[in-house]
Amino acid sequence: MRKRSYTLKITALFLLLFLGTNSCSDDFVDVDSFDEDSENFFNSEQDYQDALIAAYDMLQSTYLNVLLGEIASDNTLAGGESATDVPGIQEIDDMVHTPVNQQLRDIWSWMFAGVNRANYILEFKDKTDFPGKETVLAEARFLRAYYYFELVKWFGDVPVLLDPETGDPVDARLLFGDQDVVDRTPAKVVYEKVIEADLIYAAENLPYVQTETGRATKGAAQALLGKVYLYQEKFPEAASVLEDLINNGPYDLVEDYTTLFENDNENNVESVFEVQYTDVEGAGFGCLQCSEGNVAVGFNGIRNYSGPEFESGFSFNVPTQEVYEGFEPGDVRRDVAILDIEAWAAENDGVSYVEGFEHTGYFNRKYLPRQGGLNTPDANLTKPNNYRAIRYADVLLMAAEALNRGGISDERARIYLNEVRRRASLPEIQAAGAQLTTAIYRDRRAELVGEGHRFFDLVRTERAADAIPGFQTSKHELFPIPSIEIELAGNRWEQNPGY
Amino acid sequence: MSYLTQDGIIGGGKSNFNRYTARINFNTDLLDNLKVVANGLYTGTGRKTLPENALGSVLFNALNNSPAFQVRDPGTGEFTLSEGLGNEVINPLAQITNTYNKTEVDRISGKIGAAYSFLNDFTLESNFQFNYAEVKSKAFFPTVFYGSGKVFNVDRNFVTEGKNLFRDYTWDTFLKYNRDFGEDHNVQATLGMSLFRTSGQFSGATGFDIPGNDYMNADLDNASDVIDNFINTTGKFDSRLLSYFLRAQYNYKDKYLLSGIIRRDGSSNFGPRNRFGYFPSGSLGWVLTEEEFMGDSSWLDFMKLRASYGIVGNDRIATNAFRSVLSGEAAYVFDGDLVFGKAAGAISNPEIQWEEQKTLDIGLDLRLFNDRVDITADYFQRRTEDLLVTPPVSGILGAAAPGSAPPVVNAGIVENKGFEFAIGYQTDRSRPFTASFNYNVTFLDNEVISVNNGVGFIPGGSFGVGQDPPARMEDGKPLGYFFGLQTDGVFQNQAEVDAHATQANAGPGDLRFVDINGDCIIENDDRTDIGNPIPDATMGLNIALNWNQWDFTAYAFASLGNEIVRNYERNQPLVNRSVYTLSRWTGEGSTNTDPRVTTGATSNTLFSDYFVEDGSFLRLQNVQFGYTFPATFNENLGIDQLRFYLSANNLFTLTEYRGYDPAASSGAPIGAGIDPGFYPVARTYLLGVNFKF
Repeated sequence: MRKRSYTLKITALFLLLFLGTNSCSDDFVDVDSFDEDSENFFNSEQDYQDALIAAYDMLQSTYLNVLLGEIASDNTLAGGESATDVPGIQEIDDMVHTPVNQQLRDIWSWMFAGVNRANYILEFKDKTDFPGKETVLAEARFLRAYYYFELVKWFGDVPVLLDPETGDPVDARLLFGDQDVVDRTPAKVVYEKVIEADLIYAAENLPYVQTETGRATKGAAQALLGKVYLYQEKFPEAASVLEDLINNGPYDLVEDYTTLFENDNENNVESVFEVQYTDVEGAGFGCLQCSEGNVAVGFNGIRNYSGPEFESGFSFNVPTQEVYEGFEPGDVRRDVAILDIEAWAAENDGVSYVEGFEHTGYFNRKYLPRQGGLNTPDANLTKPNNYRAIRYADVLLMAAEALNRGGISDERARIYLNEVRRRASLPEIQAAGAQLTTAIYRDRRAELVGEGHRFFDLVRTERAADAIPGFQTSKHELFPIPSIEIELAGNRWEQNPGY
Repeated sequence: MSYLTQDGIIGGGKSNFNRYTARINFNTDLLDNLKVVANGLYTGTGRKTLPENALGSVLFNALNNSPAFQVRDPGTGEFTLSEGLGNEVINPLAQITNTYNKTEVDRISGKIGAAYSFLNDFTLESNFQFNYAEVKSKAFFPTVFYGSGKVFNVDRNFVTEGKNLFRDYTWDTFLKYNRDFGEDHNVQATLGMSLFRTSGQFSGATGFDIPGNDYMNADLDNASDVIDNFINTTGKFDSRLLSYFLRAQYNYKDKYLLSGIIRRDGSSNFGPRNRFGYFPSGSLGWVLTEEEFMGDSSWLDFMKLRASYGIVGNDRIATNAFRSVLSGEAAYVFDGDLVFGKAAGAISNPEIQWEEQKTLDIGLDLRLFNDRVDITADYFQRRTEDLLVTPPVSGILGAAAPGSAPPVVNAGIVENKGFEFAIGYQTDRSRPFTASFNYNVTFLDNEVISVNNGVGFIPGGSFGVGQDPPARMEDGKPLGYFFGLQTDGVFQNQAEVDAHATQANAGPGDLRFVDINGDCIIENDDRTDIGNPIPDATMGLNIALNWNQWDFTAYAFASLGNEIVRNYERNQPLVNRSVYTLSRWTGEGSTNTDPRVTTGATSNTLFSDYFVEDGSFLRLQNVQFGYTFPATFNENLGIDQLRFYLSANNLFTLTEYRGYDPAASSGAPIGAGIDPGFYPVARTYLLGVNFKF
């Protein structure tokens, strides 16, 4: 009997154990995430600021847009090591690019990543209030416009989620599943409903001087809006917003053009909007968009260079003889923009380098790697050179172009053009009408060579077919949507014409 | 207790592995009806590795580096630079020398369990099993220059240290019932539950400027600018599984067998609506040789027909795939300083649910001629529904953002149908010479039944640099089949080029691609099915021979009809080439197989069947030859058994594949069978001795 009661006790104990484990029930598999859930965020100003940093982060990946904006144009050749060094870049240079192109897919994916990160903030814009929230939302809208403008420049009609009733863009991320329903929206609608509306809001709600350098300002929004109008040939609107900026903004030309692109002259008085880079944290080739440094600068570098001032790089984006010789005599900008490597080697001791593919003897000096950076951890991918995305000189030239081409005022156009020319130590232009237009175009190229604008300037002014070998009208104005992207969105989108 | 150490085939001590283990066991019957089991195991491992299985691996460099270069400069004794070979190919021996890493794992595992029998037919059993592992890793990247523009150059040395903790436990509890009713009926039933939890934490940091550029000083304490590698995320995870099941078995006279299981599994890897799945299965068996009508056969010893159908669930995906968490990277520069924010990590898919594998199996077991011959034959049909994969996804969703990734999806249905046959033969065991032969073969037919998206296919895998994914999961095709251009020989002259559809960069000596869609332009839309990595048949043969004290065993394995993609070649002017390049096209009529070699822009490197090879192989996996000393000999030494043996693994592989290992694969469902220079399988010889006390 004694043994039996012992048995019963143990039986009871086991059954209890059995039930005990049972009792934790289905809740056992209901586990919270340790990292914050994106749907339960935006509970404080800090949360909004943190999400905003993420939206700014994608600006650094625009290095590729800048690099290819030059290479696609008549300013530079692809270069690199050989004809097969980054085939996607070589093909764009030769105007033989196809819908299979890793670099175009990168631009597509990275710009949309930027759009989504900006939209994340806007999706939750009403969740938590705090003083100064308009500034945060204005910055987010500026960034969304910036990324969409890039997308429209490269690909034309691009997918935007639009409210079917109002036709306005939906302030929300594109979530998994949306790729099967969202359609390509005509570029005209993207311009008006998204880009212009965002930039008008941003210009109204941002200050000329921000709390921290690097943030979008009223001036940046106005300048970008002016550019967006100019791309659509809305000359009066462009002239109006750009002259407002010229008259009321805190910007001026840096007196000495030779100092403009040095790393100790970043965020200067001429810089209306500047993409910020650093040399303290980079990335590998597996994730170029992860680098906090300027990847394009390493690509521009002189192959196997040793010598003073510069560091070596991959010898891409090499300027042509034609652009070098196109500068007017006495133009101080030529030797700042373009390095003649043979002349440099003759002037300096200990210069050595290796000639890469399509070696022209010239390099894009504005964005060559300078010595002295930490370049951590990958030497070629973590250059600290900020990209001067919109310079005041660009604003002056855009205003001049809008005033002249819009038939508004050649007189004021000349004032702005000559302000830029004076700094370049060039005589003033007295021309008017079409001659003035030509002069503005010429100075625009000389002023901005190496800065990624040339291809799109040629396209929007319909001069690309004359300037770029292999350029086919009605095809090469836009780049193809990567075929894999069409497939991944359900094979519903038409490819751009000609591809 | 045991200790093992092993150096790698490549790089010797730079890729080695060593392991210590210590084990303790405890088994006791506390009462007649209460058994207690406890055991503990400690494993300590250390590992050093070299870059492998990717662009940039030591093997990739060894294959591509120019054979005309010396390893070291005869003058200076320094490693030579690999100039002119592109930005990726470097001197592999310099690479080995400059690779410093180690990973140390301390793992403690244990189990305690008790089984208690009561009321004659019942047993209650509970087992708790746990693992705790601490993984410490360190890697040092010295400042090094491999050549101009090399992507592996390091300007500023750095050390990375990581410490990862893993904890998991499994707690199973069963109530078993086992009873005979009369002489003919046996019933068994089990009611059980199981809890599984795995959790842990990743942490690590990187520091720069190690003094002296020396591994001896490579410690975060000696570094400057230490960066937390987990700044975007907490690095913590917790994943759990909860299962209940009921199993019932019925056996009538060992003639009719019946069983059924129903389980309910819950996984924390799925969202609230899809968390639980019910997975039933059942089987029937009929032992015909127990039937009276079969009589007593002189040659048929055993014959059983069986059929089963079952569903099992699979939840092996990343935690949090169903929800979006802020584990992405957000870093920008304000006021000249790097600032960090928060961004979404991998794209979430709230709809993901259990993958289900539904298997139907009909089989026959036979034993003949006094159990000398053993035959098993099965027809099977395995249907995987809601296959869980992580395919590339539309760029508009932002998956390309730093720290983000594509979502996990339930991709569709894949069916494997096939036939399995095994036959064994064993000679009379009472003779001094015995032999046994076992052969098995599986014929497999794999087909994707449907794909859950509008396009009808999911791309995957990677080939070359910047090309579209080379593999697909597509309706009506084998899973992960290769999708690329089809070649039709080599252009012999300009007239052939002119006569053919427009093909970019084409000239005499280039591959001629087939204009599949007939639009007279060779483009991406001319890609087609050019093979698949799934074998049509696999087979194995085991032979064992014994003669008195001598024994011999051998095992061979063959795989037939699987294709493999050559993806370890770099197209740069001076890189090394495989010997087949010697038979390249050199002029009209020279060859119609291998294209010309050119430094210009070329389409020959586009993914095509030129890179798809037959991966069929026969491999002698193991051969062993042994001698066991007679018992009389052992008695004097006080041991029960003493055996010497010589063993060889991977003695030879018969294959036409030009790479190292036709059996190598990444294991990804879409993108398998693409060889980026996989680490080869070692041929090993072992001379061993076994003692038993």
